[in-house]
Amino acid sequence: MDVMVETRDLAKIYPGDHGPEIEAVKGINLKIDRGEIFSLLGPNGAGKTTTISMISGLVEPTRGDAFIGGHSITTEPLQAKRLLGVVPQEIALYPNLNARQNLEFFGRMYGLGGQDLAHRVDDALEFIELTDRQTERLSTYSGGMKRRVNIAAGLLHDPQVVYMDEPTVGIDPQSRRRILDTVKLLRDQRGMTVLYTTHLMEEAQELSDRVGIIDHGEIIALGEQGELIQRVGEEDRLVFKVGDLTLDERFLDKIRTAVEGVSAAVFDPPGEGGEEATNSSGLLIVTARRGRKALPAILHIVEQAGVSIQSVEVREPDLEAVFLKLTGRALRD
Amino acid sequence: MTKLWVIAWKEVVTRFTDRNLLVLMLAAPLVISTVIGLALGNIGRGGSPIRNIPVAVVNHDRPSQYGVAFGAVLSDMLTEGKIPAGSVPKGGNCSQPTPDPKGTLAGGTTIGELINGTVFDADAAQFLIDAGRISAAPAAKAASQALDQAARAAVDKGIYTAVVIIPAGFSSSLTDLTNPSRIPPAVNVSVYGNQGNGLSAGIVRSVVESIVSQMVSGDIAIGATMSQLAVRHPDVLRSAASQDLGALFACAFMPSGDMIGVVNQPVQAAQDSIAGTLLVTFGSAQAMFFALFTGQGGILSMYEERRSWTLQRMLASPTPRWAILGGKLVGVLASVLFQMIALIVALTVVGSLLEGKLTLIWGTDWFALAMTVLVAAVAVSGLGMLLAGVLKGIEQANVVGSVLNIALGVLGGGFGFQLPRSVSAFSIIYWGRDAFVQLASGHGDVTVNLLVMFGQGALMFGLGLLLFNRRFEA
Repeated sequence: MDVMVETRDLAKIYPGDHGPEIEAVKGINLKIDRGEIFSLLGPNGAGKTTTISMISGLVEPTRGDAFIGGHSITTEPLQAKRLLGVVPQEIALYPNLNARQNLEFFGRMYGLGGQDLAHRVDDALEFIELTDRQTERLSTYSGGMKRRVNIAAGLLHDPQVVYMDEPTVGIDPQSRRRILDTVKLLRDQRGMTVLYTTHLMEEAQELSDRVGIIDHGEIIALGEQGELIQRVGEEDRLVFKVGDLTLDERFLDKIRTAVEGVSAAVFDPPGEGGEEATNSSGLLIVTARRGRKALPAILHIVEQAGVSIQSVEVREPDLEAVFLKLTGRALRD
Repeated sequence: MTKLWVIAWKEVVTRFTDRNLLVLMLAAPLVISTVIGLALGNIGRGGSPIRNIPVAVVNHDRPSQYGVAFGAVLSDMLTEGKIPAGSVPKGGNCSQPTPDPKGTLAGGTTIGELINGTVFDADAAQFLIDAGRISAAPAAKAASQALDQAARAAVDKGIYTAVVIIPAGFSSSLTDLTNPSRIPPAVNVSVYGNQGNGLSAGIVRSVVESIVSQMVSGDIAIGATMSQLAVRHPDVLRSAASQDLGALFACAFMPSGDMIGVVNQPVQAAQDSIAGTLLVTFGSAQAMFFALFTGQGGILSMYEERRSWTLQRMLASPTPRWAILGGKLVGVLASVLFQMIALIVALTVVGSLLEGKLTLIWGTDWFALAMTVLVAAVAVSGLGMLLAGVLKGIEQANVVGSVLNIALGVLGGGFGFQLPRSVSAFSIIYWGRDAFVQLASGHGDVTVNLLVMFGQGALMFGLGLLLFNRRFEA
């Protein structure tokens, strides 16, 4: 297998405003093979964005280097960037321009032009099924349509590696499904390497060949999904829906220490638009060996604290459990 | 290099396809200038708020050999508001206009209402010096240069808006009938205006021009008549040689009415010039004022692009940073240029529509006009660059930028009133507006204006670029 993306001791240290330096990324070593979909997971502030920004050439590393197709991003940035397509989480397009003008502009940024550019734009518009609306201003498009143009702009120059940052944020399930299928097509039909970030665990599970979990600027887990889940062992996840209550750290500590087999207990507050928490209900998530056996003791503590439970669910080990166990936090924290 | 132009073109296209920006860039200044121009351009039809412009008249002229004193006529028209009784040469029978029975004349603005002229002689100069209002050298009665200098000093101090200096030999140069085939010499009546009050000074200049123009026209007509007589009827010319020709033809030189805009063509021309001056004065100030927003907005949009991630998308492409920054700057400069050119064309159309004929209100010195537009664009872009470099974030820049622009607009005369030059000269808008007004009047040497604007713009641009580039790299 060819290595398409590699980082060697990649590190970034920011000067503190009024205090000590902040080591956002602490020397990451990573290899991603050609044709692989690699998901990088991590809570906010873990160093995920800084790592990707260094790989994309947006942020200069303090130490180490990143390579795209063997080209150093620090010493051969233009060659490395030619091989890389970027699909940001934001709709990084000009709303006053139409889809075709946007694609042509970003195509030209990759050195495309003339008939070649025109054909590629035609193909891209057909691929995202927007040929018939190509001359309309982007500001008139739906969120899903904008997302599709956003993706097409990153693929126009047919890159060998594409970085996608949460490309399904804020769109309807149908558009989301279409985008996930597109990502798989890129790997299966075009042999592209995809570097994917998401906070939606089921997306990572569906797409990823391998997963890296980053926290506090370090890769704390790296491997195929099965390998990672094995690390969690036989631990189940108990998910309690607790309404609009707020659970404090003392309460969570009590569950962690008083119940046998519990390895983690976190509170996912309501109203933050996460995977499962709703606007009105927060979640108490407990990771425990033999979860069903630990359930009565947890319920007892909950009852004593006067917390009313709306529902309880016992889940088999998955990536979310891996993440919870390794970081002590829910993915979207 | 190609990518630089692609980015610059994108910048222009995104600016000119944004309807809100178009309102700010083109519609607002055009509407405001036109409204002010229409409101103030009603001169000659009554209702003009511009009245009693204080003007000093220095008259060095003496009557010609035929007894005609055109310097006195011009002086009297400016100080008395009409041809005073007795100023018509002896033997002349020049008819005065009769009021329009429909009341057109009654509703008009006379020169006397428009211009509050004062004869500025040695005594007047000495009075100002004694009062400590000017510090010019004592004006000896024989020293005409000292008198001119004192009058200019009074204008600089704001005591008068303008001084009209009528040179010695003015009448003689117009009424030399001994050689009818000659080409009349240039008549150098000079108008020195207060640069802080360009609009009113421009109006004075237009009025004086129109009166002198009529006098020159009369001179040419007389010359042509005498030439024909010399060829076809030399006997008549010989017999006429014994007559007082000055008295005979004097009426041909006379501006026959005291009303602007109604009675005769040359004075009507003054009104045309006034309307054009108003449009140029307010239009150029508004163009400069709104160009400040375009320049700043364009450069500060770099922050907006960072927020929307289009900047990062460009940076992640194989495009050098200098091309991105350069393209942005060229695009902003081009946007400001297009905006100013569009406004100049649009205001020319408005001026022409108001006059009912094509009127080149910005003058005909195309090269100087193009240079003024280019340098003004550099100056406003420079200020935008400086703000982008100094201020942190787009919110702060928007607030500070707007306040600064309004302050510059107030100082530079962008809102219909003008401050003394010593204050307004701190504003880029003043220098731009003054250059356009000077070019429109056809009298201007705008070199100083261009140097000041270019100097300011280049300095701010360089400093801003240095500071902004540090932040951009970070």
